[in-house]
Amino acid sequence: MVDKGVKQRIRRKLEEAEIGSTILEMKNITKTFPGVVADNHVNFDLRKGEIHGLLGENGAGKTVLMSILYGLYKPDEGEIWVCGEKVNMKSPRDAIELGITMVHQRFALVKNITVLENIVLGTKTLKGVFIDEKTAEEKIRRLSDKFGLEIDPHSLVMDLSMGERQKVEILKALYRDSDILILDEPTTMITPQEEEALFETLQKMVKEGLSIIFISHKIPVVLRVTNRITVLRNGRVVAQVYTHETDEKDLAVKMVGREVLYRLPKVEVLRGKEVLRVEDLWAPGEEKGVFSLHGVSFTVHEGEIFGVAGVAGNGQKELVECIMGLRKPFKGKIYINGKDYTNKFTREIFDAGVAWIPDEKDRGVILDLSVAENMVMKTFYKPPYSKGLVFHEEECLRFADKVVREYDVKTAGVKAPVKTLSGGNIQRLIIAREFAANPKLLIAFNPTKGLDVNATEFTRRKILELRENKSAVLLVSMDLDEVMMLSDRIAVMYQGEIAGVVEAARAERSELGLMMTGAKKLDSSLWAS
Amino acid sequence: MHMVSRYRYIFWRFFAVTISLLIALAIASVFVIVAGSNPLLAFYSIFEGSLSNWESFSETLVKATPLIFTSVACAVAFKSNMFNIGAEGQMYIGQAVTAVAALTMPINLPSYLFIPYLMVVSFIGGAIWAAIPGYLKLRFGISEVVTTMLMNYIPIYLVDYIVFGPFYEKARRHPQTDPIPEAARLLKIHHPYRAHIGIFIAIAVSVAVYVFLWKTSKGFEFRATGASTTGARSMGINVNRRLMQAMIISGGIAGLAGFSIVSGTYHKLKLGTTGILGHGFAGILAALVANNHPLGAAASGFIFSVLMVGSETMQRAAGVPFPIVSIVEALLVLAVLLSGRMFGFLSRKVRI
Amino acid sequence: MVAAKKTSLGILLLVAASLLLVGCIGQPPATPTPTATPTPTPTATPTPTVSPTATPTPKHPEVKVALILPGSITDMGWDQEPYEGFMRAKEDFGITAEFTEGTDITGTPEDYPRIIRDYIRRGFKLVIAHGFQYRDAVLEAAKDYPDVWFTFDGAPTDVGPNTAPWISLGHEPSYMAGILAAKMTKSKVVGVFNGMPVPIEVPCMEAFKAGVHSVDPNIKILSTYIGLWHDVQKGYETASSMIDAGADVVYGIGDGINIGGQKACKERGVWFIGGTGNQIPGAPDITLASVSWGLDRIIYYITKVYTEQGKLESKFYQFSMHTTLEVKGERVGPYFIWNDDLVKKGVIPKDVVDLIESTKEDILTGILNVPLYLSPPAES
Ligand SMILES: Nc1ncnc2c1ncn2[C@@H]1O[C@H](COP(=O)(O)OP(=O)(O)O)[C@@H](O)[C@H]1O
Ligand SMILES: [Mg+2]
Repeated sequence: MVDKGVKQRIRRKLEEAEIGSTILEMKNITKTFPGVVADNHVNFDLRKGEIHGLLGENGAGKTVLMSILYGLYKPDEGEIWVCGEKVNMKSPRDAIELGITMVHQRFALVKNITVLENIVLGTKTLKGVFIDEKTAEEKIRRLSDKFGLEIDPHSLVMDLSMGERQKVEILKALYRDSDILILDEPTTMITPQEEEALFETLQKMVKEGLSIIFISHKIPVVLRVTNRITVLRNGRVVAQVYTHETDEKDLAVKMVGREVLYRLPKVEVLRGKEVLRVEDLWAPGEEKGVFSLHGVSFTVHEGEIFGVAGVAGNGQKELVECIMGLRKPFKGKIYINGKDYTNKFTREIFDAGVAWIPDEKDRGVILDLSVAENMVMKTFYKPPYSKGLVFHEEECLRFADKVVREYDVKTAGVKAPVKTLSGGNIQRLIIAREFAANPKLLIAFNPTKGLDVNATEFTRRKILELRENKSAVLLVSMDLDEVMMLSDRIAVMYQGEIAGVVEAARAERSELGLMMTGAKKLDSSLWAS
Repeated sequence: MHMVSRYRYIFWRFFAVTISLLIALAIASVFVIVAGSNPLLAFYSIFEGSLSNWESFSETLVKATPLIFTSVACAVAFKSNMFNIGAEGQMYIGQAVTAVAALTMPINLPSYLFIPYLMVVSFIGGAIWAAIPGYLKLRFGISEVVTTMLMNYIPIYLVDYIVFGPFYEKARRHPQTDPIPEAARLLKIHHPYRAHIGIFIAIAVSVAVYVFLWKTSKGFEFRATGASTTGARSMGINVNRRLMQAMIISGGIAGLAGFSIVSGTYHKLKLGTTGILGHGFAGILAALVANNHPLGAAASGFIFSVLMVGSETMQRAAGVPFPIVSIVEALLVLAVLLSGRMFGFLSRKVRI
Repeated sequence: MVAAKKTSLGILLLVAASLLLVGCIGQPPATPTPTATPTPTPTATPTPTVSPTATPTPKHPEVKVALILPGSITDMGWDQEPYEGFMRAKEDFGITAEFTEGTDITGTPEDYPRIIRDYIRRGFKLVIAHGFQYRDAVLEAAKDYPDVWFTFDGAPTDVGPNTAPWISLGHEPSYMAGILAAKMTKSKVVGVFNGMPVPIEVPCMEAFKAGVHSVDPNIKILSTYIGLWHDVQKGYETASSMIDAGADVVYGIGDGINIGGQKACKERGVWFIGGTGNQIPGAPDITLASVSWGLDRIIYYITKVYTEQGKLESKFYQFSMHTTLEVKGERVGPYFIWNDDLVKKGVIPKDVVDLIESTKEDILTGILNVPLYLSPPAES
């Protein structure tokens, strides 16, 4: 883009700028993709030393906007100004040389080399052709100490947790002496403890004069860490406010366009008899000879939501699959309503009154089949849809028509293939189908993953309704807030074991976080039951 | 597609095939001209030799009969997510079983029992041959593409053994069996043409498969499994059983292709009756062109027969050398195959 | 689903590629060394030089005759000789003559009936199907179309009201070949291979064996029917295994398989005797002699009879060394061809040549009666 001299001048200006002065402006940015306007005449600015939140629902255009700043996309329209100079970002290289670094939602580290190598990759800390390890290590240690980013520079990236990898990404930015740091959804992959540490680091960074753009769709998080907030909705800026002048409700209305209940009302429901009992369940993992479940036991009762929290990959998937008859346990028993359902066929488990919301949408629907066909996917072989061998399509259409209206599924028609529906409407379809038969037990696995605020709220509401109707719910979710909000009891899974079960009413976020990382384990005699 | 009228869809689909064929003919005419023949005469003879009169039409039907069976066989399997590319071998098994069953029949069965009997045994023969790769896939995860492909070749040796060994014709001259009993033969439709009632059986099977897949609850499970095995399994369908059954039905129908050859066309088992683009392989292409719809597979099986029979006439009537004939044939088949792309292109341009 | 689509596209492309490949390898099998020129022999005729593109003035365009050939018209044997005779007849008689070549190279037995019926549909009234493999297709069509004449290389039992099978009996020259082989072998092992045990082939096979044993009953004969005609590689493998088993003279009867068999003999330095057409030019240094069935003249003769009489006779047309019929001054029927070069150089000893020539006299005068088998004797 600009020649070396101009870049150096801008960098100097960036460094010398006063705290609180505007250092970056994005003016009138528009970016379209075939069929979508990702960003529509967006204005955005950043002041030195602030944490600026970029808030919006999934698909609001946050990532695209920042990718434009980072030189990944070329805007259709609009300009970028840094310290009063117009710049033209042709590639991330340009951005980096101007002191702007972006940490993506999915980290971009090379997994089988060390932290140090990852950090110096692409920089000029070289001695001849070799990396000048000593100088590099010294600098990394200095930065680590200063910002609270403890990490062993010699460990391999693949051995690190997601939170630690995030630290490496941030160290990488600091190592390059960046002035502006963009963090895209930094809290989605990490535990509550790691979240706390991250926030502390960010505060230290702004004190040192860095400026941070913090992308998130989580209102409480944005409220906690930022100084200013820009809200994006459908690619447009709908508000720019100082954090201390707004609150959760106000932001929710701005972000979603209507009032959303983040705290859903939860009525008292008397716990009834036991519906699901899992006893000493062991299950093989993806790798040979490694168990993904190590003797898991728990019960779920009528009128109760039993939440299972944990970092992804600690056996949750295998647990759900075992219960649903999709994976053979190595050992252990599963009882539904007192009857042994270990190793039964999925259809028999459904017939026992079980409903489920899978975490991958393509397990809950068949995208190439029509809405109507998906609506009857669990019942098509029974009357009135089938009599004998004969399949009565009209019956399915009639049923689907009714349910589509009842659950407000937006579709071009019940004969349209499900793949033409949006994610939220597919979720409605699944819930409509699963809830139609008044299930006795619901297995909900990451039920709101990837959904927008409306669909999330709808799903949670429905789950709570089910509880009020005295059904039992097993809620397995990676979203700790969701588990805490909905559950009556919470179990935490760590490495295929239950690290503890606590009453939701008495659960502490930090305590659950410790259990999620294996730092704490409850004696099973102390478990709430 | 659900929003497009069915008839418009079918019209444009055929239009796309036509355009693709015209492009292929244009390319092919370069070869024909280089070979010193008249391309117009050559291409006219394709039509002339396959459709223009009863004799040719009858020959096209003879070719189409086993091909419709194999393309429907492939369509069933593909529709259910099993890549059975072993219809060729399953068809050979069907041929061998039909001939052996007919020749070893100890009593004088009347035709109305003999023919159903042969259909059943050839179906079972092909089904077993397809069930083996099905089992290997479901039990050990061995790709059915590889196993069915490899198992194409074994039956050719089996036929080889039968015709040179225990069932070598009495005259011991040619690698073939003696003729099967009169009652085991399918009726000819009209003297002196060779077309036989196997064509009606083939069409009936394709309709039956259509009805099964779209009008029965079991068929629904096949379609669901085909559209997504993970999805179908998660929603309580016994996916493994359906996949196995899909292989069995597919193999059985391919076996019927063999039955139609022995019982309808030759009345004996012969060595190597299909060539490099045998019915089994052509059936794969025909099914893919038809998007695995059984009725469409029957239609495209017929179109392939027209092209193959017609381009043979080209050699004789227009004096096109046989290597060039093979190239032209290949181009035409390719055109039909790629007509799906053409359809996509047209629908973007014309907004069907 | 995506994976499935990819797989199907992959298969599609694979098939398409193989289709095109078939188009390219469907070429005729390699012909023998092009530089070799046919050696003039006592009984051999110069190769007819008819250009296939020459269009004669049609004198009898209404006479429509079709010839169906299993192999390529450039194979110097089974297919080339009849093709040349046919083209000569076309020119001489001014008839409409069309041919189909390579039915067994690009096609399969499935195509035979279709090819025959396509000619019938287009008004051809004589179909010459050159090969016993066409038997079923011919007999079926003959039943369905009584006003069309059919002929093919058949057996007496195949005669019908409108079928006139013919045969060129190569047993007598093959007997001579047997004597030659027996005289030339040092290892006392000789080999003979053939395509299939069909009427035109079996007599040669059996007479050759008889000829060998007439010289020395202790000579071991390795014999086999390969089951194929056009597979060069198979012929090569068969001959090689015979040589491995000790054979130092090999009699090959066939076309494509002979090209391979002759090649194996040349590489291993053992004697070869050709059968079907004149195959000496293929490897003049190791090919002792060749047995030709005179196919060009037979096809010419049959076409001539049909053109003159408007029909064939409902009989078995049999040609042998005893046939005295002539067309254009050439005797119709099979004959034995010496490799004159080897005879002149004395590589084949004078006494051997004399013995075989006198055997020929004995055959022609009827003193010697070579046994004739139309199908393999029971014990083999
Ligand atoms: N590379 C792309 N191609 C097409 N559409 C895209 C692309 N990237 C993003 N989009 C679309 O642009 C819109 C904004 O996306 P994004 O900025 O990623 O949203 P978010 O606010 O969740 O980060 C979405 O509708 C998304 O589907
Ligand atoms: Mg994003």
